[in-house]
Amino acid sequence: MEEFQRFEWAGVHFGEEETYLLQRSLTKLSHDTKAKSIKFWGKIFGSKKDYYIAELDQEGNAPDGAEPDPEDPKLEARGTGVNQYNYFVTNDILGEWTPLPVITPDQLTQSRKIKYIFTGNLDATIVTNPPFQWSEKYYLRAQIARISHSTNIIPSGLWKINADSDEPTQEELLQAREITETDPEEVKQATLQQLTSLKNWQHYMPAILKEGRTTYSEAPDFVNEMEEAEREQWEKDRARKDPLEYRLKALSDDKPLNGYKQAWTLRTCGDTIEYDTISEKKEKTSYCVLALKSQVWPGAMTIAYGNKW
Amino acid sequence: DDNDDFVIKVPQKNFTELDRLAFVVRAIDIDCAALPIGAVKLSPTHELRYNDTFKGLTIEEAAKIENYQHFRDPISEEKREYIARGDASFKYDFLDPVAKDSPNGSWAVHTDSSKTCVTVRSLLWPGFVNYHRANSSVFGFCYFGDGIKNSDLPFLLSGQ
Repeated sequence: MEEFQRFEWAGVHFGEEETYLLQRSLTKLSHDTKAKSIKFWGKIFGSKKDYYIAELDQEGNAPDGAEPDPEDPKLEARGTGVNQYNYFVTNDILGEWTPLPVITPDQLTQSRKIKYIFTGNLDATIVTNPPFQWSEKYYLRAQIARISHSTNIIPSGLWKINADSDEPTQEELLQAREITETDPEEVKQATLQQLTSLKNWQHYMPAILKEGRTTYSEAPDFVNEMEEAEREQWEKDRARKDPLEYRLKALSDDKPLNGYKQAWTLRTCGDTIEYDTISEKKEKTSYCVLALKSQVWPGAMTIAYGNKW
Repeated sequence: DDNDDFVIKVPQKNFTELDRLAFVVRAIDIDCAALPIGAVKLSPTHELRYNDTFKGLTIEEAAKIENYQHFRDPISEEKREYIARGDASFKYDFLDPVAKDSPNGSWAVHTDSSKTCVTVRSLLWPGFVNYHRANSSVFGFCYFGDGIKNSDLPFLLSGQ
């Protein structure tokens, strides 16, 4: 409830009634699925009906009533990569939540090529050029994956890259995929000044490659049969065509769309004065709400307030 | 000494964001602003007045796009003649109907979960909302968006 209030300061609000219904509905969903954690992901407008989407962390287990995972060697298993979380969707807050299926790399690559307005009907066929073979349910899931991986951000310093050596080279930093939480003792509370700079915000989730996965898929058989040097060349070619992004990439490094100066805009709403707190650490606190809006995905917003976001 | 043939030279001015803003506001207003049928009436002297006896549409009527009309000077021939003939003072549907907007399907009608309010959203100007609370005289419209028209709309509507 508190979180919704913060969003209201930044200008995003559902209205009292809808917020309350949403809360109740999410509580019921978390009881029914016994998920480890549940988060309201957002709302997507459709021409006939809207979608409300919830993100659940079920630790790699498929939810009841979900479709069986498709047979695809390139699919990232539940609990990893793009399929790390399970998503549930509903048209009506007072209704039942339906689980969305996992997403395969093919579905992701095809979804990047089309532009489509949601209708609100999960089973609607999508008629576009280039063609999208599956129904609206899969397109919705693909968009959710793309949006999450582009707009899930955290202030810098809270997580760090798990590199193999103590002094990693640029190459090693690029290849590193795992991140670990920084020791809470080492974390310095960020001041408002620092948080208002895009340099101090990072992407939390890994970027999705052109292939439609977060990590490179297994090389095909003919490559494994090549000689060492040839294989390295093949992998270099692949990395050139489908480059990896750094984990924990700073927002200031995000490329903006044509005509825009930045990929993110930052707004401070409310009282921006920093006050001293009564605690021993002599920290400063501020009561303003910082809103970070993505220009690449209009509608994606991250709010920072005090030391929460 | 004022001469009618005197050509007024407009001073040079850069094209500012203000000009663009003024244009966009006007364009959105003309394209999107709408009212439920019955909300305004034409007086015998051809003045537009709010209808004091408007009790609101029922929830079923409000959910139909045919019951909304544009809040602007009619553009369609049919309605202009209607007004010129003088029939408009007796009926309420003398303005351009929203349902005839092209491309067909560029409006999305949503009833909220409490079944009391209806919002009519524009897909042409994403972020424009016409709202009406059923069985009351509460209606209006609002725009929250980035002022960019969705020109791809005809390609996105597939005859749903």
